[in-house]
Amino acid sequence: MEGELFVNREFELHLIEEALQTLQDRQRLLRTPVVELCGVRGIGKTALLRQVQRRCQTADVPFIWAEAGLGESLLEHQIVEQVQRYRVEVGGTEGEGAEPLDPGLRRAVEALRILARRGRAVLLVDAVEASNERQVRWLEVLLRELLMEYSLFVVLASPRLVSFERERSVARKITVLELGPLDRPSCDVYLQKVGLPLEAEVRELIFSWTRGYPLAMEVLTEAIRGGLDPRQPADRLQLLQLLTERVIRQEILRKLSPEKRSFYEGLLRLLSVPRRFNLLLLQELIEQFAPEWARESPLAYFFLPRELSDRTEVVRWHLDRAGYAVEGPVRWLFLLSLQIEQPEQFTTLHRWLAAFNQRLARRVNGSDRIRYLREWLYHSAFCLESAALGQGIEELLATLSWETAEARVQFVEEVRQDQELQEVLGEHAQRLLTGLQALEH
Amino acid sequence: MERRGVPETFLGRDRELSLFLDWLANVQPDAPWILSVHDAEPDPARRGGIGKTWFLRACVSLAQQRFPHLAVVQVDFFRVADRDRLVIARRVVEGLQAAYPHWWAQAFAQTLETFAAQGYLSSLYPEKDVADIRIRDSLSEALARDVQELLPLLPTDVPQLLLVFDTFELVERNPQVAVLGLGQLFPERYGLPHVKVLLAGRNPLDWQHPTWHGREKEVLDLALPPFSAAEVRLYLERELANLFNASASDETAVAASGAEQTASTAESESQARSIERLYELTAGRPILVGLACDLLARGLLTLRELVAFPQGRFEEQLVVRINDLERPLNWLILVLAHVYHRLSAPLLAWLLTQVKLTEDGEHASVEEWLTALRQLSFVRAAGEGDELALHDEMRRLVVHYCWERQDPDRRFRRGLSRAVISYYEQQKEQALPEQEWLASRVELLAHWLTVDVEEGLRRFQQLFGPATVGWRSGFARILLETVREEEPILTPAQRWQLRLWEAQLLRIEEQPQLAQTLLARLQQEADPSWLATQQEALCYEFARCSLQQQQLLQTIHYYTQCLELARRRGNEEKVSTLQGQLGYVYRRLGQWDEALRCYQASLAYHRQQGSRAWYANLLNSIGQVYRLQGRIEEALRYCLLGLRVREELWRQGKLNERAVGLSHSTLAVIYLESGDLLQAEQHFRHAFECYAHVGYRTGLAATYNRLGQVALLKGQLEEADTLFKQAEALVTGFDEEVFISSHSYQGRVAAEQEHWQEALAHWQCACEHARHVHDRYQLAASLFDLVEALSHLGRREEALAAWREARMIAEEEGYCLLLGRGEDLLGDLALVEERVEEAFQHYVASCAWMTQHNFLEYHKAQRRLVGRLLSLPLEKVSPTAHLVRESWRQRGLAEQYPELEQACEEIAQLLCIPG
Repeated sequence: MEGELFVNREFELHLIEEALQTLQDRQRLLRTPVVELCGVRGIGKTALLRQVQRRCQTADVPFIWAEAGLGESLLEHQIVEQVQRYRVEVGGTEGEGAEPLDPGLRRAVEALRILARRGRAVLLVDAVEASNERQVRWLEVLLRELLMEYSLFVVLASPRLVSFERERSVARKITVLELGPLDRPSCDVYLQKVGLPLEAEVRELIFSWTRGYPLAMEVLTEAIRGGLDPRQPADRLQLLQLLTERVIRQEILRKLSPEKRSFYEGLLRLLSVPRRFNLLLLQELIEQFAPEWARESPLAYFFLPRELSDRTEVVRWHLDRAGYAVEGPVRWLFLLSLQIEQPEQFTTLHRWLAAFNQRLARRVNGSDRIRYLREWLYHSAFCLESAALGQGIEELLATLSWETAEARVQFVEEVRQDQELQEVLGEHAQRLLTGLQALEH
Repeated sequence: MERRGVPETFLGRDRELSLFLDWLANVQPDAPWILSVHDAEPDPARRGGIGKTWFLRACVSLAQQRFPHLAVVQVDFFRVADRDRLVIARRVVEGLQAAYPHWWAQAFAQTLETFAAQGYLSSLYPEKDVADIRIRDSLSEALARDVQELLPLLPTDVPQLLLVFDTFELVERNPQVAVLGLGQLFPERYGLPHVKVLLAGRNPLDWQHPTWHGREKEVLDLALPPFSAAEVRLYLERELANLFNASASDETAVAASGAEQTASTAESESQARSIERLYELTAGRPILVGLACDLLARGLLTLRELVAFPQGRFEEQLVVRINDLERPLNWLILVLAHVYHRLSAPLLAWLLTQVKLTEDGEHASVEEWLTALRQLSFVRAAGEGDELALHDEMRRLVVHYCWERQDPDRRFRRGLSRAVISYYEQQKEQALPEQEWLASRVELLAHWLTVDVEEGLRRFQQLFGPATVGWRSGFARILLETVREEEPILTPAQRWQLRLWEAQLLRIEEQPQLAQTLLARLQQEADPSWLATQQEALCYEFARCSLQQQQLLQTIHYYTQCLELARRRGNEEKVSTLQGQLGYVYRRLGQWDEALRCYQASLAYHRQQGSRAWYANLLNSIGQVYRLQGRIEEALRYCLLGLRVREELWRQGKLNERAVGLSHSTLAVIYLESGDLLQAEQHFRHAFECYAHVGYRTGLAATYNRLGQVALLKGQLEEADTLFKQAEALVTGFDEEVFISSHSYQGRVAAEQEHWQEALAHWQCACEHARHVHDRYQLAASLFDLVEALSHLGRREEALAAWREARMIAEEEGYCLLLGRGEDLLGDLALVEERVEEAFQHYVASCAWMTQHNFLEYHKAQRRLVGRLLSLPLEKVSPTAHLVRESWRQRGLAEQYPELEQACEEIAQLLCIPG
């Protein structure tokens, strides 16, 4: 896409560049034959793919660009058609694989195989749908059949991680690159490239609202270009609504019908308040704050996270948090909107979550307890007065001194790395860190 | 080692496989025939997941390859249904038939069919267990006949049957649940000469357990260590071949440059370091190595991430990944961990309808998921069909790191359990095959406990109560262990109640000392208010445990407490029952008046409002006391009346024939003691018939002993010995009390023939067993017997030590009869060595003890003394009579029991003859 704003992503580009060079060398092997780019919609996957495309064009490497979201038959059609543009004659459906394949899939495999065997080739597949089992299976078999083609480099892009678990040989070949929001310097570069004369305060506001989420930045800068001023309270609300409409509804939830969109939007808004949730919190949060969506039994909540993930592609299990969470950039937008539009509800939710975490911290032990305590602190920062928060921190430090050395170390480590927590604690953060330092000794 | 026959999927363990093969091939008569494979880890809490099951599979495969005609039978005690002797026996027959197609176990099949037609399929089926012994007797006898026909077809220089038992730890307390033949010890040989048993469990064998005691030579021990670093490497290389060697294999396709080669070498070194690190992190535990490989192979994490896990949290970091429920496979693993015993395709399909995994109309392939599960290293087959279960160690990890995290208040697990309960409830119970019924009871119990502990415990009691009566302790144990898994969530009161049930079970499992320890601990730990409510139950258990160990004074102490408590509650029926039980203990102690007082009090209640069956019991018991008091006529009257009442009740179908047998047995003993051997024998035979009809094994064996006693009295030593041996065969590993008696009597036969060495062996055996089961009465009796044999063999010091111990026990417990007999024996030994004065002091002491026992025995002792007195040279008779008289007076017994003094005086006078 000509004129598309593209900043940062140096690490990803370096890896891809290296793969392309290896491909050109012909004497070396691809260490990363399949790269999977994943990240929420609007995070910049397509832009990155375009960069790869551009580099292919520059280096004269044959490439195929395919849109997975159009369906398997069209996917096959796109591949074969583009291969043919390189004057490759795709013949019958005789193949080398042991397993009989669907004719369309076989044609795609054959086409790519011939193209790759002519020297080198790159396959770029955008908009892969991780929840579309048929599509994933189709791609999985395609990749399996092409694994031995050493001169083919594949880049896939998907809003969430695609699991190629049925073909272990494929799973092992994939290198996952998770795209996150841009950091502050990259945001500044971005805003410079936008070409708008922005004052420092506005820049700061843009960054604090979007947290480096490219799509949100794009929406905001366009609106500012259109005359809205984020410093004006009236414009702020309008900007927020615009963000919700353009980012959440038109992009994140765009595949859903309007009635379903409203349900999932509501659910995501609610689930964005906690930084992590398990099945228990999911159920209680819904029953408490959105009883109209409550389900008949605990069992019925089992696959709600999976459903959310499939429908919205912004909820997933986070190993480091030992829980589910709404993806950072989207979560931040929901939080922002809740805080500005419904400040009372925002506080109530945090208060309820603080109590929930406190209750669970009393119930469990070990690393789980440490996590609940940390989240209790996080939510308390939003709902307690400064003095009460200070006292809470003192009490927490006293509690921690009774924990095992291992648990204390875990807490200290986690808090030190938890920028978000430190940020919301504000002036209390330093007191906490000092107290923790004392605990270490 | 040559690995021909070992599945390619099984790596390493060369030393162990080689040892197995050598053991299997060795069919010399003195070669160990049991190979006990267990976890080498010394800490019991850290055992598990060492790869025993995989090792067994490799052994079986190797055995089948090396010995193509070998019959192999595999049993996994993890499956509830496999903890059944009948199931195992049937599998053995099927295995033998498959290995020797020309042989057909016709008699066994026919017998089985007969019982099957009657619905008597399982020895564990609560309602049918009355027939347990009869079924076992008939089936094992039929199988023995069939095996006789098989023997000529069998090769003689190679193993003929390999029995493989997995997850032995689940039955290690009571392995007899796997034995069909009466009188056999686990494991059974089924009458085949060359049987080999491969036994795998977490723990090494307990040589103190009655099953294993003294059998060290039969067993070869194999402690299975974790994987070595080399084995971990082999495993990883195989499982992750593509991951590891991607570049290596690719090099064959493309010529590598110098720089590439350098990079490749660096990569190899890095891999080697990773493997070394992985070995450290897993400590070589196959369960963790397998899980790590599963995750690596599924691309859920990279080797670099894996080896970066901190040492202390490696296990956690691996297992928590299963929490990601977006992957249905992970959800299935969680379900497996909760459903625990087994997950079948229909049950999974049922659960899927409950959890809304798929949207309406969307089809989820249960079979595909089950297939995916089977590919995981920690999923095992759980039943005969396609049922699956999680490896128990993995289950623990998943519950700890996943369920506890997702579901801290267990609401989701409760939901799952409700779904499983509804699955079983929508099935027609009647249509369930018996083993299925049994397994489903245990599973349902587990789920009820999850849903509602109170309800679960109520259901537990409904099953546990009947299971503890009779011979179903195996089933009771499974039930109790199921409750014990929920222990962390039980209230303190429920936990204490569980201890009480466990003590009850331990007593039934014939481990009264352990039960007592548990009860004592419970008294210390439990809340006083709870203890106050349970005092009667506690005292009752203490009493039963004491009684089982023949600690009669202690038994009386506890029964008396129970009696007081029951009186305070005004529970007359309970009072009368306890009076009856107390009467029995007083009778055993020789306190006849107390015994009669208790019996009569109980009789008074039952005559008015109690049961006629109890009434008959009491008549018989009172008859027993009269017998012991030497009041033979009254004894016969009471016992005959008791017999009539029992016969009538039996004809009306209100009483088990066993009770009728007991009456005959009591009558027989009365006749035996009064010297009417003919009548005695007749009644013993009646008793035997009654017991045979109801399959009362202990009764049958005890009657064999009694008939042997009759033969012994008749001087038919050979027949007596045969009868005692039959008794022994019937109760080996089943009833220690009768087993010990049979050995005592066999020793007596040998002693009659002056085969002292042989007698010594029998009595030593009796002693060891009595000591092991804490039967103090039989221990004291056997020690007195030992004194006799050791003295005759000239081993005086040992004899003296045995005497001291015997006397100490007998005095502590008030065993007057034994003390009397012991003194009598010492007298005989002194007399043989012509220490006349000493001998008669012992005889006097014997008479003194017998006065405390009963009049009859006192008279017998007095008669023996007089006889021996008159066997002395005439010049010694008078002074010895004087000595006896003086000694009797000094003991203060002359007034109450003047007969001995009178007899001595009379002898002295009669000896004053001129010249």
